[in-house]
Amino acid sequence: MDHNLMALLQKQDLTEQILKTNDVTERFGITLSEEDVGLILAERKQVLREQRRVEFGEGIVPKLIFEFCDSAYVDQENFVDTIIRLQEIFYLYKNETLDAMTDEELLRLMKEQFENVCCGDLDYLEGTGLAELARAVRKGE
Amino acid sequence: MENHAEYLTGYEMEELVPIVGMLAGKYAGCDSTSITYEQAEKLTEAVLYCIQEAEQMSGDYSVRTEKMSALQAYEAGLECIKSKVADTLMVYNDMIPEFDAFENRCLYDTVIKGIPEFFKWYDVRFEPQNTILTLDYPVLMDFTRLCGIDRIGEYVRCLKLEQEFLTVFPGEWILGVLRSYSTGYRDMIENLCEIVLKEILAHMLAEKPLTAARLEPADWRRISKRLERPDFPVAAGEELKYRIRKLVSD
Repeated sequence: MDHNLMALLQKQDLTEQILKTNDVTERFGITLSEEDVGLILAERKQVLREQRRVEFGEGIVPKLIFEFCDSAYVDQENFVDTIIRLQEIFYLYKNETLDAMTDEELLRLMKEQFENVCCGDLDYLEGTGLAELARAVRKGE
Repeated sequence: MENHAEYLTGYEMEELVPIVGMLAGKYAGCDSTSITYEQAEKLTEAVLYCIQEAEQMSGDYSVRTEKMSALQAYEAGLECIKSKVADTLMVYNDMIPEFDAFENRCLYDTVIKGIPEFFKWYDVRFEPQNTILTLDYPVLMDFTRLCGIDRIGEYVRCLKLEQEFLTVFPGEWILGVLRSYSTGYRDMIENLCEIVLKEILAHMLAEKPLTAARLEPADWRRISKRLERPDFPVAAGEELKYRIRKLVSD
């Protein structure tokens, strides 16, 4: 698909919306700076292109932040990298599950796996826990 | 895609993108904040299809309608498509009570099984450009440049005209013509009207009644001689028109 069209479809600046999540995340000791948000959004643009997806509205980033900010395995130091990686995994599995799962369902599953199965290991989350799910969804189970 | 959109509708992509975004939001509902490229492309085509419908409706095919914004054109086109679906369904329902497939499986399957599936699955909002059906039974007009309800609408109208023509004649006579044409007439994928019309024209040119048996070699020689006449196209055209009108009214 034409990259210009994609860019037009995703022109909305989400910086303010993402910075607003600090109102919630700061009680868990996590705050995102504008530079952090810029990094997250730059990676978002890249991964959406790689996964051939178009995002509209406020997108998934605020929801990812809210879902994972209280995780036992994240802190101020690793939060940005974790969110960037979770973002990649999220879009990958939206495709791998053929959009059969809603955003909410996939987010909750990712959180559950991340906390209780993968113990904060993102490679394990991407490679094992979710992979099994995607196979099951594609089989129609 | 940008130049294509502007060429087709006269609206720039910047004007169309918010409509695609709105449609994407409706498509995904509360379930998702993203869609695939393929889906975004389909939704863009849906917007273009609707706007083209509006422009055709206003008689303004390739130039932007000054009075309407892209959104207004889209909404007007969408309403137009909904009307076309209702109209086509009416034509189809009107045809069905007297419909006769003359034992031809392709015609029966296309009309009785296929077309209802179109009405069941046609997605006016998110994929109006999708024709859905393969329309295996060939009609005498070429609608391949059309898609979606435009194509189905013209196709159904064509079928209705064919039925109106064919059902003027006794069913057994039609079946006799088809059997003479091919013993495999039940399974053939050919236009029945064309076969029947050729038979009628040949009988007319041979000056034999339709109830007569199959044409003899002498009849075909007579037809050849008539076709060789230098004034044949004009004279024959008028004569055939007269004879067909008389045949149908009788």
